[in-house]
Amino acid sequence: MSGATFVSGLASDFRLIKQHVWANPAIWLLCAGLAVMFTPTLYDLYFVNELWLDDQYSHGPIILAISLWLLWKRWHEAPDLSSYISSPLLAWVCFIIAGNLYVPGRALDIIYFETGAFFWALAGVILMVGGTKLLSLLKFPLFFMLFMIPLPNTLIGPLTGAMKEAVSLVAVTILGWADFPVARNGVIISLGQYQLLVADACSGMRTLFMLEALGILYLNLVHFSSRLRNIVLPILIIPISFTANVIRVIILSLITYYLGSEAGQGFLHGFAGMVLFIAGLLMMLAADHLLRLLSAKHYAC
Amino acid sequence: MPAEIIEKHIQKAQLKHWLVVLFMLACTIFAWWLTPQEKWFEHLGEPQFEKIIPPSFADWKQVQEGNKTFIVDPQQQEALDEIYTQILRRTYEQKSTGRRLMLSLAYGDNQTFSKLLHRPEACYSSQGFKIQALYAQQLFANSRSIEVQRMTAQLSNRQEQVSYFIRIGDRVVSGPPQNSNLARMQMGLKGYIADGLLFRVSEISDNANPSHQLQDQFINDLLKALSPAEQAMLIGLS
Repeated sequence: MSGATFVSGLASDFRLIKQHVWANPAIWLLCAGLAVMFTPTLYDLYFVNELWLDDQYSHGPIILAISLWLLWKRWHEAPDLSSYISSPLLAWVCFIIAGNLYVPGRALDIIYFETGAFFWALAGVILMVGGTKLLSLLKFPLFFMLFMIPLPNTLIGPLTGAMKEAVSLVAVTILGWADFPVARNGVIISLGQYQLLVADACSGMRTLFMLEALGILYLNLVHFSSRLRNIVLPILIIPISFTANVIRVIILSLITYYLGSEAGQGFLHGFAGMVLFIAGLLMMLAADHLLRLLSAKHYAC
Repeated sequence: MPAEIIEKHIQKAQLKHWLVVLFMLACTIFAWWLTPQEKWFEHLGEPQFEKIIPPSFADWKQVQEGNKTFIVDPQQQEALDEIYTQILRRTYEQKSTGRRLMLSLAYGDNQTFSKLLHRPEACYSSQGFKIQALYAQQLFANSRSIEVQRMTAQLSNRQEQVSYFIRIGDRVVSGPPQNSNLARMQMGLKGYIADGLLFRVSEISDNANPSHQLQDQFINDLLKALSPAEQAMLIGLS
C-alpha cells in the first residue's frame, strides 16, 4: 500500500466517524457522559488498584474490547434506527440503579459495584436511544460484558481452594498410575526429591472464565439453532477447563522432575500455560463437534 | 463505504439526553467528593513496628532462629511485598520456661479492594496447611477486651497453634471475615483511607489450650510494655 492511499484511507475513516457523529448527536452525547463517568474507573483498574494487570482478573480488558466491538457491529446491523422508539422511563430506572452502584462503588472502592454500574448505565443509554427494541438487538454484547466484572474474593476464594485440592488429587492419582514416586499433602505434591505447591493460579478459575467467555462468544457468532448445543456446551466447559488444568499440573510436575526446578519455574511455566489454553480450546471444539453430530441425529429421527 | 447510508437518520440531542448527561456528571462529582482523601496512618503518625515492639520485655526476650526449611513460593513472596508496607517476623523466648513463640506483623498502609490484608486461614491453607480449628475468643489484655481468632493448622504431622487479630483503621475487627471489608468502608465514610495490621502469634505445639494461654500472656505483657499511642497502633483506639 502506498503512502498516499494510506493517508486517504485515514481521511475517509475520519469522514466516516464525522458522519456518524453528525448523524447521531444524541448517542454520542450520551457516550461522552459514559466516558466522563467511567474513565476514572478504567484509570484505577490499570494504574491504581491494577486489577486488570493482575492474573486473576486480566481477562477483563479482553472481554470489554470484544463487547464494545460487538456493540458497534450489531448497531450497524440495525435496519433503521428511526423506527426505534425511546423508552425514557425504563432508561431512568437503569440510570438510577447505575448511580446507586457507582457512587458507593467509587467512593468506598467496591470494584464490582463500579463495573456493575457501567453495565446498567450502558443499558440505560441503549434504552434512551432505541428503547426495548434496540436493547433486545444489543442484549448479547451487554450480557457478555458481565464477564468483565471482577468477582469478590470471598466468593472466589473457597471455590479456588476446592478446585486446587481436586486438581492436585487427580494429577497425583494419574502420576501414581504411571508409577512415579509421587505423594500429596493437601495442595503440596511431592515428586521424587521435589516439592511442588499448587498455587492459586493453577486452580483453573481463570481458565474457566476465559473458556466460558470464548465458548459463549463462539456460540453467539455462529448462531446455532440447536438448543442442545447452546445449553450443553457452556456446561461442558466446566469439566473441560478442569481437565486442562490437570494436564498443566502434570506437565509442570514432569518438567520439574526431569529438568529441575528452574525449568519448572522458568519459561516452561509459561509454555505449560499456553498448552493448557490450547488443550482447553481443542477440547471445547471437540465437544462442540460431538454435540453437532448428536443434534444432527436428533433431527434425523 | 457510501456516506449516504449513514445520513439516513439523525437523532438530535434533546432535553432528555442533556438531563441524562447532567445526571452522569452529578454522579461523578458526588462520588469524587465522597471519596476519602486522608490516610488514617498519616492522621495517627506512621507506626514503625521495628522500633515499637521491644526486643525484650517482662519475661520475654527475642532470640535468633536459624533458617527453617519450609516451602517458599516466589509468587507468594511477590504478592506479600505488594500488599504489605511493613512485615515484622520475630521469635521470642519466655525466659522462665524457655518456650518459644513466633510473632508476625503484617502492615499495609492503604487498605483497598485489591490490597486488603490476607487472613491467616487463607494464607495457611494456600500454603498447604490443613485448618483443624478456627474460632473467636475474647481476650482481656491490659484492661482492654480484644477479639482474637484461634486457629490450629496442620502440615504433615506438625501442628501450629495460632492466635491473631486484625486492626483496620481505628479498631480491631471482630466477627466474620467480610467485616474487615466493612470496617474499611466505615473508615471511608468517616473520610479516611484505612490502614490495616495483622498481628499473629504462633507456637508449634500439639496442645491448643496451653499454647493459647502462653500467647495471651505474651500479648498482655507486650501491651503493658507500650505507651498508649503505641498500643493504639496495635489495637486501635476506643
